[in-house]
Amino acid sequence: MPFFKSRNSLFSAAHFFLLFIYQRQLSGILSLPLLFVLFSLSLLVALGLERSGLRLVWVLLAHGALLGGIYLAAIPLFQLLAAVNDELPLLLALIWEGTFLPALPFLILFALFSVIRIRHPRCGRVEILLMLVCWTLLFWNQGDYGARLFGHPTGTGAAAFLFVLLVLGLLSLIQRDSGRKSRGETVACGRDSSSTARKKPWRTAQGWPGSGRRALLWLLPLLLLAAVFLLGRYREGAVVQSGGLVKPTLFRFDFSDYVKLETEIAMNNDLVLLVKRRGGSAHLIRRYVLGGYERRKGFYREKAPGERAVIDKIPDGRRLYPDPGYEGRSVTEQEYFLINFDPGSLLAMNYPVEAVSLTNWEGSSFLKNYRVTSRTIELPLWDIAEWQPDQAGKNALSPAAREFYTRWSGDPRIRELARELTSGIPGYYDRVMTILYHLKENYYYSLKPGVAADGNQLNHFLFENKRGYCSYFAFSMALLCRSLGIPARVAVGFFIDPASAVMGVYPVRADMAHAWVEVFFGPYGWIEFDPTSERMAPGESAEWGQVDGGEYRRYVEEILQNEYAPSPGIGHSTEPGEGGAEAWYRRIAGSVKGLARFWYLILPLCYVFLLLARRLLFRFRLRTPDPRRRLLLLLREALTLAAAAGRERRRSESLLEWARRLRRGGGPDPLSLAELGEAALYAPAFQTGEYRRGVNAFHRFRADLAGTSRLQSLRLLLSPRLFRRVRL
Amino acid sequence: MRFGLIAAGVLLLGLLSPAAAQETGPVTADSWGLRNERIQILEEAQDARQQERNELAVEILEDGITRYPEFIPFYRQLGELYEEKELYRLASDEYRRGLARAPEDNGLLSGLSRAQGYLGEDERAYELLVRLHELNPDDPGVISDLGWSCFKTFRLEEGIKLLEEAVKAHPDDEALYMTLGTLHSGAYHYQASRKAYLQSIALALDSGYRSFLAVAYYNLSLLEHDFSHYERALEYSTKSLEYGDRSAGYIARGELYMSRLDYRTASAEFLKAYTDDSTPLALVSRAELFLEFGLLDKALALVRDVQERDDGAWMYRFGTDRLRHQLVLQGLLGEIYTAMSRRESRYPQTGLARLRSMAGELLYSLRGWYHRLRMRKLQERVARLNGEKGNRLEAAVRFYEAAVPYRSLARGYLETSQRLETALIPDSRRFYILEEGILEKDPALLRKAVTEFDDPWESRYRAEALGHWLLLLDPSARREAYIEGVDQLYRLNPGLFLRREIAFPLEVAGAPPGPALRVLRRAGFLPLIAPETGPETGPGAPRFMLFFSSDGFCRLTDRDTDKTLFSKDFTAGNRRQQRAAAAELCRELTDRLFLLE
Repeated sequence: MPFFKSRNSLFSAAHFFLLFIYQRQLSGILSLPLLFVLFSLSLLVALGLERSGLRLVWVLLAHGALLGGIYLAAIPLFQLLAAVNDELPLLLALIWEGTFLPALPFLILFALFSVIRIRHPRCGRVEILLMLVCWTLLFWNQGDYGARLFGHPTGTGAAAFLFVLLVLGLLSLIQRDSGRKSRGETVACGRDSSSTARKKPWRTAQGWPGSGRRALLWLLPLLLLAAVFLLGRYREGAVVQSGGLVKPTLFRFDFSDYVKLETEIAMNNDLVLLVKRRGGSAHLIRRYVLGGYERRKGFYREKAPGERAVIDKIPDGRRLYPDPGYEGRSVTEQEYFLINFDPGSLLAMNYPVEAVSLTNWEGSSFLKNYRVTSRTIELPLWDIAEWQPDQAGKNALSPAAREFYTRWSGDPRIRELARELTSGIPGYYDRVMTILYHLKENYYYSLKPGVAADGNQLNHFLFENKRGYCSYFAFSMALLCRSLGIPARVAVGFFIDPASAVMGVYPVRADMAHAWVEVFFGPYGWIEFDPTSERMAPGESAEWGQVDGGEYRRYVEEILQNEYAPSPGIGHSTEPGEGGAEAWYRRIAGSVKGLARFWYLILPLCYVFLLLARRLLFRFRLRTPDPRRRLLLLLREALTLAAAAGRERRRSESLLEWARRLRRGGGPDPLSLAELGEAALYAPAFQTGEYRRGVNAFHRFRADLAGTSRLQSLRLLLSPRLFRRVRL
Repeated sequence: MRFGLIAAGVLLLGLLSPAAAQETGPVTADSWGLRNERIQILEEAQDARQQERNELAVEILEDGITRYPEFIPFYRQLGELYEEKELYRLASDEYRRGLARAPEDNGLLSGLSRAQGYLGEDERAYELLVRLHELNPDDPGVISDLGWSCFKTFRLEEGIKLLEEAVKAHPDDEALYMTLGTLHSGAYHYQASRKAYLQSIALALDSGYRSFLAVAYYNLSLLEHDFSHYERALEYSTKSLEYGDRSAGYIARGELYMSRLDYRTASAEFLKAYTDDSTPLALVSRAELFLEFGLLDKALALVRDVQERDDGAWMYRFGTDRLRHQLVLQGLLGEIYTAMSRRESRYPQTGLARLRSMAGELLYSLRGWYHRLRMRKLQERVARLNGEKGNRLEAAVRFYEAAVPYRSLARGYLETSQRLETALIPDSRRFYILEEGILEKDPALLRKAVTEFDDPWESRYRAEALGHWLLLLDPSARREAYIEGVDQLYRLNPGLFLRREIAFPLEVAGAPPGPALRVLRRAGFLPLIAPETGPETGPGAPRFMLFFSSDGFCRLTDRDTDKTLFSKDFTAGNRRQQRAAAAELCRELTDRLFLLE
């Protein structure tokens, strides 16, 4: 049947692909095999009706009525089976209802598409657009910020990639068909496309050469727009849903390089990672420190001049970091098991001195496992209470760093408040604690801090409504300290609940993302202070999520059941040695290793790129001014395509013999191209006019090769033989 | 049921038993040393457990296993440690590891069956208990556990047979009687179940076993509730709470009050249950209560909350499983979304908001359909499971619920279940009248059901029957009966008007502006224009009157109490503004009339 020519079949494949995504959404009730049967049935009904020559509206009505009739007739038919088994009719009826009714709108829509496309082939482009809309809508609920449609985000990514491939395939076919039309050929898009084309010349679309390329020009930006739209929604939702601190990376999460004060946030209690802690009692896990401050931007990630950057990447093997030798610290070992967090991002308690990547077991639920040894402050902090900044000692801040960490907004109200709070308090530590308790005791925790009339959210929090979430408290404390000349910075990460551990493994949920303050205490280093109030704002209730016991325990069991050890990685190294060729090699090897996990996506992608590159190279070489060379290039390409399509030239054959053999076989006819090729090879002169004839002959030959069957066109597009070098 | 009460000391006592001696070999000076070392390891592990240093305990036990792999108590203790921490997969692994060396070890078999039960592998737990029973045919604890497992896996007849024989051999074992009662209740044997429960209570009263009594009275209360003996059910649930402050007792009482449509008391009981509930059952019951009274958003939030809880270990101790729990949740979601789609029309909108409302209505009804279908599919699965195990009545009831939209199919299942159930419980006839009335859309049957249900204990079903009856009644043809029915239903549960599309009669007096009557009709009210001679009185007069005064005020009056419920300025300019004002009036009327304070 002409319908089952490549273009229509590919469209139908795209339709069924959309139905497949739909089935994933409603997997509780939709049966995939029945869906396939119904889809095929609906298509056949639509094609049958199309052949009847009815007007479109009648085709649609009849299609809907026939499907409706089939639906209604089935239930009494099932009942007949009651004589055999009294449970079977009900089971069948439930499957029938659960698949048929949800699929019906799509079946009708796709039937409509198919009929319109047969009658008006140019509508294929609009159809692609509508399919993209369907696709976007079907993926819309993945804005649940978890991309859970396929159980694993990679599945979602693969599905999206496959659909894009399908769309590109459709576009290339449209381009091919347009190319043929532009040469006055008819395209077998439907039952009578050629005959109607004869009756109605406009349908042959003689004009619009290069329509496929134009379609690509508007479709690719649309695809991009849809992706940006989805990702934008995903990102925006995720930041707000995760307490305004976390941003999505490719289907995962990580902390933002800067923190914005949102007017309203929400929380979700998805498990992000698990931590196993040994020793110590620290409960703040740091991702970034935000040292830089600008009034408009807020706190952002930047290190002070001359300062060593805070470690933020998980090493491949074992990595030792220089220990500044801060006083009053003890060793805390942590093991991290990342579930839904960027697998390259290092989280560690302050201050990490060693990080080791851990091996992951077969079929692991975790993206990445690693171990960190930190030197953490243990409470209570009696010693630091005595420390004064004028005391000399090691680990003092350089003047530039001190200036950097005491940079503040310059808002006199903030300094006034800080001075008012600390007047008469000489001690450095006491002043810090006064600010901390002022915030803790006089402000409320709120997920809805509200909108500042003048846009200054921080001042709105500090001086007006006194409600905010952790970032508001951290910003305020850091700025109040800085306004007094006390070096302070904001840290972001997670907190862990000491009471939540099972077998020493702590759950970390998305709503445990937190911001706090680190204040500099000379020989003791940067000490954490958490100014966030525990008092909920009046009228708001604390709906802190709870970890789902079942899911969490399954992960704990997985950790305890499996063996893991330090990963061999690239070897043992220390941070000072970092740099140079070795570091580059390590980084590249790490990236390659990370990418290797997605080989099933990357390999096809690479292949497509190679095909594209080959095509581009061919076009580039065609730019030579010499018509003889250009024709020989065309001839070589024709021979390559013929080889890809299984019509290669034999070793003993000359060009003309090969062309005549193909001609005798009734297949594509390259004779004129071969004759011109012979001329280009051996004639003393070769003119541009001859080259132009050669171009026409080449296009004809290529179209003939592609048009003989659907399989052929695919081979022509994708065959590895395209990379074989052919002789002339 | 005897599980979950393994104290660490029990294990040490077990070491001194002949079995333990056998495990450690013949007693020689060397073997004494060896045994002392093993016991020392066990004691160290126990000390670590007592200090909550569980990781250390695991290390000690693992080390012990490496050194003495034949010493079974290590596996047992490790399994119990994991079990205590609710890590049932790990516990199962340890028990299995031990069973590989000692396939007939009672402690390991029992532990593994428990762990499997907590993991929802009821069939596997049953198989293990069967094996354990074969090894210990006279152990009443094992028999009781196996009986419970039979109940969980729908093997009611097998369980009853087993327990009937066991109580003959162990007439003083209260736990056996309680399990027997549970099995009989599952098989709808009221008398036998009640007798067994009362016997278990009598025995437990003798031994002063209070926590057991709390459970036994709770089970008895459930039985009485199921068989429509509500006063007794309340009495037993109260007794259950006297013996133990268990959340299940409050839930049982709350459900009785919910059946009476006593919102406040039921809500208070469920709240008490919630404060100390380690299961989501109190939340599910609260959601059901909210749904019953039309508080749909609250109900939805609770069901969603329960849905997010993936932990199903609690089900092992209750007569449910993941399938049936999911079924309940899907059923509730289906009801909630369907009710939400109907509620949309009670809150009419104008302009763009109307489009949003229409889209919302469509979306809610689609969601409602989806969840109802999922519920019906699960019902069908549970029915088949019951059918396979020979529980024909339970199977027929479930098949009927799954087949309701296909009337001819459902009819057959309803007839079967009615025949089977009324033979066992003649009192259940009225529930079948209601179901038949709903299925056949027969007003006479529905009206009959209204009169047959117990007042006040079965108010919930009376309201249900009334609601369906009113939907079939033509208010213009039988105005008096309709208004009387609405009045009756309104007194029972005003929230039902939000869930069903029952036109609510309002007498409209004065001068209603142009579009007001149309918008009122759209909002599901039945505006009845008052005669010019003055408002109606007598049996055909609606309870509520809406009066539009000429100065632009609108007043809603309850004629029963002669109170004005609210008055509102209704001065509006052009027709569009009048429509908007009428829509706002309807929304306020809906809130005032149907929502609980």
